[in-house]
Amino acid sequence: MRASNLLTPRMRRNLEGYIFIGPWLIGFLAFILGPFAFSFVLALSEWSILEPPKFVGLGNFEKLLGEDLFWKSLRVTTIFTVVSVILRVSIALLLATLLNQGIRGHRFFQAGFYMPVMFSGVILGVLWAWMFPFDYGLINDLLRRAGIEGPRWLSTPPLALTSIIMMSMWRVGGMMVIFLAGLKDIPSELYEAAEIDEAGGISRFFSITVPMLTPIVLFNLVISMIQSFQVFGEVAVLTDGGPYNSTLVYLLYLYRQAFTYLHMGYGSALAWVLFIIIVSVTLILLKTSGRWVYYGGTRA
Amino acid sequence: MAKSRTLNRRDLLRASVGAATGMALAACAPVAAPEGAMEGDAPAAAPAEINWLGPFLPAYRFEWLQGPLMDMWQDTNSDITIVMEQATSWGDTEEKVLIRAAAGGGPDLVQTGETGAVTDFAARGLFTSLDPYMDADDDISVDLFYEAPMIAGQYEGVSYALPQDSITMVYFYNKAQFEEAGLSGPPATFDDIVAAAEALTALDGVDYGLQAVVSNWGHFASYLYANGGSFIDESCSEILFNDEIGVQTVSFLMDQVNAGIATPHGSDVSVQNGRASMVTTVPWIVGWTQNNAPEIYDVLGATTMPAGMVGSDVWGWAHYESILENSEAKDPAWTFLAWMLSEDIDLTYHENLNFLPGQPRTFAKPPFSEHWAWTVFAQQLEMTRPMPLCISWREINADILRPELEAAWIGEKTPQEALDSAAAKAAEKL
Repeated sequence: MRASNLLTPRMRRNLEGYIFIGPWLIGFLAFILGPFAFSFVLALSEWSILEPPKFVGLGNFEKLLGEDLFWKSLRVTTIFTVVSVILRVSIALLLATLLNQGIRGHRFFQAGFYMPVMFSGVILGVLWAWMFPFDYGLINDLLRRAGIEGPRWLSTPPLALTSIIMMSMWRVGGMMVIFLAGLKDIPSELYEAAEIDEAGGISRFFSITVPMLTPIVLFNLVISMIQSFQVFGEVAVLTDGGPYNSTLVYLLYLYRQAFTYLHMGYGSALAWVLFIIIVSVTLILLKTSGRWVYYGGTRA
Repeated sequence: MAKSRTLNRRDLLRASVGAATGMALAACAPVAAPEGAMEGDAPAAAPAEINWLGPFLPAYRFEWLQGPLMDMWQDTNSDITIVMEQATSWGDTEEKVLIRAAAGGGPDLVQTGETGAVTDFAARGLFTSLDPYMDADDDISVDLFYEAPMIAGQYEGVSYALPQDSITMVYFYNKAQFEEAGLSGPPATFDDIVAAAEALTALDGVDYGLQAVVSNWGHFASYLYANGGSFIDESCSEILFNDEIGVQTVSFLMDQVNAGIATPHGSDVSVQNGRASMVTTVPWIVGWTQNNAPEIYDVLGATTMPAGMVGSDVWGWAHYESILENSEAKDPAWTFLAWMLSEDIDLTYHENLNFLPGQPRTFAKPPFSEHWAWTVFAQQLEMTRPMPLCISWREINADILRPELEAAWIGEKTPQEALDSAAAKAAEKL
């Protein structure tokens, strides 16, 4: 009896489907799920690539709790994430609102604001490395022409992190485009009704625009939070974590541990901690979104 | 008459799956090795192929290796084919070697560039000892090289790497600005540095007489070594950088920064942009100014590192060639390495790539024996000591010493506090 006769038409259809998604499925298992599971095994081991992994249980997690640089990098990354996410979402919303007014040349500005999104973090870091030096950097040179003595942007610990946050504002274009799409989706009848009720511009913005955009705010918050926790390239190029570890972000610490010092197990443990933090913050955002996100006039 | 049949969806699917399976199996099949190659340590005369993970270089310089150098090699050694591979950074080189070695393979020959790479890799058994090859070779021995760079290629007294070139720092200065400030010559001592920096800072157009990068390991190490200090003892068990000489060295640099005659942290003032007058640095400044700032190149002078309070030497390093323990073509790899280090090829190599030679005999020939800067480097290389050859040194340097030096540089800690704090943390890592 032919094997195909053993299968029902439904099973045959399913089998064909699985065969067609097979290449993707193999890729997913081999390059995403496999390494994901392997990194968990590594997190419980000591491994320097060349020698076989040695099982240490939760040793790597215990070790990181006692490492000053772990806490330092976590603190720096948390500050960066909180401040930069709030600022980026606010600035992106503001820019989108301005560009949605149909001002002349809005497409030019739209493209201009979006352009930095296309640069990699490394290129961004190199560009800003020309802006920040305090003697002949572009920013201080402009300030000097205006009679202001610019600060030492990257040389004092609190200001160095502030400079990195400032730099991250350059990439609000992606969020801005999503907000713009959301703004276009808000029914004009709502504004017309508000106009009849003689509501002012600010009132319309906070009573119509912001509530109607809350699903997009949530989306942008989650995405930018994940991106901010993973900031790496621009910091590695611009400050390499200095001065005095004041810009030592989490991924830079992880990268050094795993790929420079070959503490692969410890690096994997750090990666899992970051994963848990990101998942937790995302869940908190999604759980609390019911209180402030509106879908089509009703709360989520 | 042949029956014609339209392919239905199932036939197409079967054919696709069959083709994919066939291709996958074909891809998994071992690649046919060239005759005579990769069969144990093949004798040098047998046809062989070796994989050389070469230096990290800009593309236009790498092309010289791939083109003219390989042509020269093939002219005399047609039985050994060199397959060259380029790294995108020295870190990339290390990652490639590690990952491939972990999988049981790897390049046969590799050039590493990061300080500490040879120590780390040799300690992990990744490199093969080159001593037996040198013992059997009449032309290549450790005596060919400058001592400090050569020692830095050893681990526990065994040579696992040979210097392809050499790296050290000398003192560069702007001759025109020195003349304008009425200074008779370059500084010869730390006291001279201070006097010169004061006079130079007073000039119009000079922001700081001295370009100092306190937290840069090479820069700080130059001053520390010149002052007679050390980072760590030879057995890698005792931290020395926080002793009296270490503190004195950081204090010396910080005093000049605080006096406004040396560049503070984050400054972009440099000798190459003409706003500073003196700096201790590696040879790259010569080529850089020649190509990008010829007006500075024309007035650039060089001298050996000014003597400190105790000593007058500086650190010496190199880019290193090593043969991997995994290699199945060690003999051909050695043949190629010995050829590259031979007298004529070493000269051609450095003339074309603009690196400092690693052998005094190459330095003794033109153009190196006639160049205003290379002759100073040749002198300096006679007075070098290696950087620490300890397994955990890279981590101590990047994660502990550098941030603490930055803390001193930005005024968060005194030199003594910063170095003591670094020493305490470093001791835990040893």
